[in-house]
Formats: sequence, structure tokens, C-alpha cells
Amino acid sequence: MTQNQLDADARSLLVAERETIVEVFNREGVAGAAALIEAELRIPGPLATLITGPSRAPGGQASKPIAGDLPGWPAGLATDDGFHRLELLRVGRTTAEPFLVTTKQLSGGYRLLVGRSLEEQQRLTATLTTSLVAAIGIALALALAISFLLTRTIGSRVQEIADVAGAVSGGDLSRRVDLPALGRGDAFYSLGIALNAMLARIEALLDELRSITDGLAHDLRSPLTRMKARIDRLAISGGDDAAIAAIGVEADALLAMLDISLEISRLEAGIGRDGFRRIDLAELINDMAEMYGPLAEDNGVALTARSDGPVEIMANRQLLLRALANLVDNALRHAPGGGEIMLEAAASSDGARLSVADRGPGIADAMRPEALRRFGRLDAARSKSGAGLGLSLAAAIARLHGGTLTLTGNNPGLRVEIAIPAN
Amino acid sequence: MAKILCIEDDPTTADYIAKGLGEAGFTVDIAADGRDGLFQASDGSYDAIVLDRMLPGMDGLAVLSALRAAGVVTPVVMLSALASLDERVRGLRAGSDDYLGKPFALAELLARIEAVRRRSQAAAGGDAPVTRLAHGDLEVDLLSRRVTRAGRRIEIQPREFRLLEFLLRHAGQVVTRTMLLEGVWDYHFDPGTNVIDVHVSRLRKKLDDGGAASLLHTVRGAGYRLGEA
Repeated sequence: MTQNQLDADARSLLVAERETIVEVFNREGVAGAAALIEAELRIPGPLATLITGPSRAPGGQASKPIAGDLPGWPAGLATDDGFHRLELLRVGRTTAEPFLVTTKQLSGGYRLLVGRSLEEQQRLTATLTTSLVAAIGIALALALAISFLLTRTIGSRVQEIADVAGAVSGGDLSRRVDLPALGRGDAFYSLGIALNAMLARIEALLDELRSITDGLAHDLRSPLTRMKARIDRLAISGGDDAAIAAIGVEADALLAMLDISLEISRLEAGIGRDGFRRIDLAELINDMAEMYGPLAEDNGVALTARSDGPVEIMANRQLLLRALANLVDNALRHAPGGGEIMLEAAASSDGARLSVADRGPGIADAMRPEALRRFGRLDAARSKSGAGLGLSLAAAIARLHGGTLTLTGNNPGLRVEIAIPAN
Repeated sequence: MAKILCIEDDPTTADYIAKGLGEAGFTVDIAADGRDGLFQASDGSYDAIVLDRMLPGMDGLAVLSALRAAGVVTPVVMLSALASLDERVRGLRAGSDDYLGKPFALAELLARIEAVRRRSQAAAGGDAPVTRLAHGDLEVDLLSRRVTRAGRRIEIQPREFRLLEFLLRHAGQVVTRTMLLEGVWDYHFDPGTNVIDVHVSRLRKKLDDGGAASLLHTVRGAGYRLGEA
């Protein structure tokens, strides 16, 4: 394409040059044309010009040079208005050069030849070709190098992660992705962190599952054994309303335990997240205070709800009510008469906080982990009813909301706080 | 005598329901699977239907949809071991009038059957929206929130008012604690303590203040009833 463009340029220049000379020839005759040619040729350039006049040469063609820088009319060159490429040796040069020429038959037997050197054009073409080849070569080499490096980098990092996943699938739950080996800040680092978090969660869930099945089996055994004993005695001694009612009570307790345990498992599995709506925690604790107010009063306990204005958060209202009900129920059970229970809702830097604080005996630091465990009970004799699941359920509800449940001392008493993040 | 259709595949449960409802004065027919149940329910002559959700073949929700699509408006109480709030909502959306988790107390089932029957009768009767509720000498104006007994004004809190309204709308019927929790407080779980009892006894004290005859009765093993002794 470049070639065509250059050619077109050369041709139009040639035509312009030719017609200028023709015009002068027509106006001033051969002398004028010759003078023009001489003048032009005084400036060295890419042009070759020749005008020949009539003479008796073999073949009868006009071939006597009149003016120009060519020794003679090139052999076999036709006098048409077309364009020709040929080698010409200009007067005063030592080597022939490639030219694009155009010719014209003039009146009176004169012939005109105008040509333009293609040497520059050819040099340009050659340079371009060389550059292009070189560029392609470099680009190819670079591409190969980069793809090789990239494959190696990605490959090794992905391999590290794949190795860890494979080891975990094989049963080694303690394996984690080696983060320093991945290099900080890039996508693989993030992937490594996410994967490690996931693996930690899987390990925790499996541990929990193990301890639940152990705990459940153990805790359900007692009421079931008691029931069996009563039924056996009934079979012998016949119907007794009180005994039958007692069996009913044990059965109810069992069912409650199972339900709550199931509920906690569902929460751990994330069921309930789609019930999230925008709710006002201040309104929630007021609701709770209103519900439990009369009962608290009857127990001689002052129940108050405190908040500084609305506290909005995305949450599952029923689940939060449930969690709070468990906490308030616990507080009522353990708080002595004449004490107080304080419900609070407040916005925090990254979300919101709900808390239930009482003036009961509290829970010693060392006992707190046990209190949160499913079926974890603080009084070994299990004297107070409550199945030991209330706190554990509240904690599971906090976790479903992406938050946490923490136990602290209330000096005196216990403060249970549920922190929920904004998103 | 009111007729109930019980669509339940477990024979022990079906028997338990039939006996319990029978003792309460209902005639009970039992269908052991969805298709039979649908067939029997379609002639529309039952006063209420007790429908188990988990049925062999055609499941409870499908039976319900088919019933409603066929234009049968008999009130339905759905029973299910799937007792979570989400499942309850699904059951109600599918066209049931109430939803009860298993295991359930017979008293609970009875109370809810009565409640859905009354609601369905009221709807069929095309009653205009009520602005006044009354029972005996107790009068409640729903617009001005005035409560009077034998003409004497009684001061009550907003929540107590909602409780009273609920009881009045179910006057003469047994209202269980669970029904109150759901209907008055919108709590869909069992708080496990006698929280409701305290609210009811306070309301009762206010209503009976001044030596008036007691209107709010405790029904042992079931719940409460507002009405004659």
C-alpha cells in the first residue's frame, strides 16, 4: 500500500513536471523548453529530463538530444503518455538508477522524457521492511518470555493452593495455605486468606458436630432413662395420673431439647439469613421490655430498655427476639429479687449492639466458654430448669447475623452483649 | 354436628386426632393419602380440614393448591413436622388458614379449628368491618379505644387493648397461649416461661375490678376463654 501511495505521488509529480515543459514548448518553442530544462537541471535533484529533436537516425526516430541530462533516448522506450520503469544513467553519474519515466510526443517531431528517481522510494521500502521484521521478531520473543514467566508464577501458586485442598480432602484438616509464600497484596494472597478462613470454619464445624453428637447423646439419655423407669413402673403398678403427667413432662423436655438443638444446627448452616429486613433495635428492646415487664415485676425485678434514638440494622426480627427472650429469661432466673435487668440497644462504629445486663451471680471468667457450649451447664446438679441451650442458641443467632455474643462481668452480675455488623 | 376431614397418613396420629376431635363433638373422616383426601374434600361438605403436609404420593401443599384451585373454600389447618416460621409462611401462602407444628397438643388443634371456622363464617357472611366489640356488659370501641364494663370506664395499656381485642374476637372459644403469642405479640417461638399468663392475669384483674363477674377464664391444659363461666 505504501508502494502504491508513493507511486501515485511520483506519477502526479511527473505529470505536473511534464505538462509544465509541454506548455512552455507550445508557447515558446523548443528553445524555451530547452532553457527551462537547463535551468531546472542546474539544481541537482531526482529529475531526469530529455528533449530530443528530429535527426536522421536509423529507424527514423527523432533522437538528437537537444537538452537534458540523459545521453540519448533510451532504446525501445515508447512515446506514449504512460509510465515506465527503467534504469537510466544520467550524465555525470557513475551508476544507473531506477527511474519512473513518462514520455510525450511533441509537435514538430520532438520528443519529451521526464523521469523521477525511485532510489529514495526503494530505500524507504527497504528500511520499513527491515524495521517491521525486527519488530515482529522482538514482539514474538517478548510474548514467549512473558507467557512463560506468567505460567510459571500462576502455576506454582495455584499448585500450592491445590496441594492444600488435596491434603484437606484427604483428611488432614489442620493444613492451611502458606500465606508468606504467596507474596502480599495480590489476588492469590486474597484467595489464600479466604481459603484458610474456610478451612478453619470447616474444622470448627466438624469439631462442633463431634461435640454436639457426644453432648446430645449424653444429655438425652438422662430424661429418656427417667421416662423409661416411670413407664416400667406404670406397667407394673397400673395407671397413676401424677406418674403419667410426669412422663409427659419428661417427653416435653426432650422434645424442647431436640428442637432447640436442631434450630442451632440450622442457624450454624446459615438458614435464616434470607429473612433479614431492616429493623429498629430500639423498638425491639422496647417490645421485649413490654413483653417481659409484668413477669419481671411479679418477680420483684425492674426491667428497663434504654437506647439513644432508633438503631437500624438488617436482621431477622424473630431470631433476635428469640435470642433476647433467652437472655432475659436467663437473667430472670438468676437475678435475685429487688435487682434490675437492663436492655440496651446502641449503634457502634461498625454496626449495632444489643445487651442484656443483670445483677445476678454472674459467670466466672473460667466458666464462660462452658456456658456458651451447647448443653453447657454451670450447675452440675442441673437444679434449675432451662435445658442449658438458651445462651448457646443466642450465640448461634448472633453468628448467623455475622456477629458475636460476649459475656462480661456487670460488677456485679452478668452482661451479655450481641454485636451485629452493619453489612 | 360439624364434620371434619383429617388427611393424615400416619395411623397413630390420625387415630389420636379422630379420638380427640370426636370427644369434642365433631364427626371425623380420615383419608390416608393426598389423592383420597382431595377427592373427599372436593365435595365441599366439610366444616374444616386437617391436612398433614408430608403425605405419600401427592404432598400436602399440592393437595392444598388443588383444593383452592377447584374453588373449595373449606378452612384448612395444616400440620407439619416442619415447624419453622419460613415453613409456616409457605403453608399459609399456599392457601391454608392456619399452620401447626408437630407434635401438637390436641387442645391447640381444637382451638385453632374453632378459630378458622369462625373466621371463615364471618368472611362468608360478608360482615362489615367491626368498630365495636361487646360481650355481656363489656364494651370495647375499636376506634376510640374506649373500654367500659357496665358503663364504667377501664384504663388499659395499648398492648392490653390488643390482647382484649383478640380475646373478644374469639369470645366463647378457647384461645391457646401460642395463638396469643402469634396473634397479639407476633412472636413465632415459645418463650418457655409463663410470660403470657402474667399479661392475661393483669388484664383479668382490670376487667374484674370492682367485683364484677369474671369474664376471662383459664381453661386447664389449653389456654383461656373470654365468655360465660
